[in-house]
Amino acid sequence: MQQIDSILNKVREFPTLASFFSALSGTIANPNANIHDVAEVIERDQASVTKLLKIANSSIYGFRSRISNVSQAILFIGFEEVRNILLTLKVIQLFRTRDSDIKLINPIDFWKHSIGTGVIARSIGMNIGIQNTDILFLSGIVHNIGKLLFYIAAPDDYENALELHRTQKINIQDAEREILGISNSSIGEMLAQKWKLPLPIIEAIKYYPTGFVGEKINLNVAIIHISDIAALILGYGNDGREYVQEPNPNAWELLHLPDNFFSLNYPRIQRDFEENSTILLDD
Amino acid sequence: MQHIIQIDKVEDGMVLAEPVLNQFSQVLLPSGTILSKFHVNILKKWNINFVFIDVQESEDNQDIPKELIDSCKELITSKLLWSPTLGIEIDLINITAKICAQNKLNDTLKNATN
Repeated sequence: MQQIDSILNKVREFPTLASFFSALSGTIANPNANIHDVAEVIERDQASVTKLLKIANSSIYGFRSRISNVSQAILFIGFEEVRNILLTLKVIQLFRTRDSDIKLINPIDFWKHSIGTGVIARSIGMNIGIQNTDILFLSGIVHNIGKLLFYIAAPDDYENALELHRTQKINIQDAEREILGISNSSIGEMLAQKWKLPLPIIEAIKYYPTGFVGEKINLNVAIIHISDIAALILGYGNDGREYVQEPNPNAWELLHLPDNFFSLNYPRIQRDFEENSTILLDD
Repeated sequence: MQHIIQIDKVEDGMVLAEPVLNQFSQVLLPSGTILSKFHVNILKKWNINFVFIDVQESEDNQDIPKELIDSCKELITSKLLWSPTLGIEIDLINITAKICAQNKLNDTLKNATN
C-alpha cells in the first residue's frame, strides 16, 4: 500500500482554497459590505476577472456581451453563480500548474472531458427544472479530479490500471482498486474535503461512478453519473478510458428525460462545450 | 438555426433558443428550456408575445451515406460494456454515430479538395 501513502501525501501537498474563500466570505459576512465591496475583492485577481466576464457574457446566460464589470456580473447572474464560476477557474488553475507532471495523457484533453461532463450536466439540469445549474457545471468540472491526482502522483500504477481496464474490459474504478488499492472517487473526495467544496459537489465526486449514494440515489449524483458516461460516448476529450460502463438504470429513471433528449439538445450542448473549452482552457 | 415564433404557435417539446428576459434583463426562462403548455400559459401572463425557438435541421443527415453511419455505430457499440436497450441510450448512440459520420465525411471532402 505504499502507493496509497504517496498519493495521500500528494493530496496533503496540494494548496488549499482557504485564501480564496476567506477573502470572499469575510467581505460577505460584513453587514456593511455591498456589491461593489465584493466586486473589489474579486477584482484583485485580474486573470480570473477576464475569464469571469467572458463566461458571464457567454450564450448560456443570454446577456449578449452586455456585462462589462464584476458588479454587473453579480447583479445579473447572481453572487452564488459568480462564486461558483470563480471556484471553477481556481480549481482548473491549481491543477494546470501541475501540467508538466502529467505524462500519460494530454491535460487539455482531460479537462475537455470534464467540461463536456459539466455542460451535459447543466443541460440535463435545465431540462428538469433545477435552479442552480452552475453547481452541476462545477460538479462536472471536478468529478474526476482523483484521476488527475493518480496521473500526477502514481503514473506507472495508473498506466497499469488503465491497461487492466482495457484488456479485461472492467470498470476503471475496479481496475484502480485492484492496482492502486483506492479508486479515483475516494481520493478525489479527500481533496474535495480538504478544499471544503460545497456538499453536493463532494457527493458528486464520491458517488458519480455508480450513481448510488449508499443504496439511495440523489439528483445531483445521478446527473453527474449520466453526464460522465454521455461525455465519454460523445467523445468529449479523453480521461484515459477506452470502454464505457453501463449507466445506472435507477439514474435514468430518476431523471425521467425524454427519449430524444440527446438528439434534441446536442446542438446546444456542442455550442456550450466549444464556448467553455475556449474560455476555460485558453491561456 | 433559430426561428422567432408567436407564443400561440409554440408546441410541446419546442426548445428555447434564447432566454426569455424581462424589462430588467433578468432571465425568466433560460435558453434550452423544453417548452410545454405550462410555460406558454406563464409566458402569456407575463405578456411575452414572441420567443426564439431552436429549429432542428432535419435535412442535414440526408447526405451522409448510411454505411458510414452504420460503421460509426459499430465502432461506438464495440466500446460499450453493455447492450443498450433504453430509448434514451439508443438516441445517444445514434446522435454520436451521426456526428462521427458527419466528421468522417467532412474529412473526406477536405482531403478531396486539397
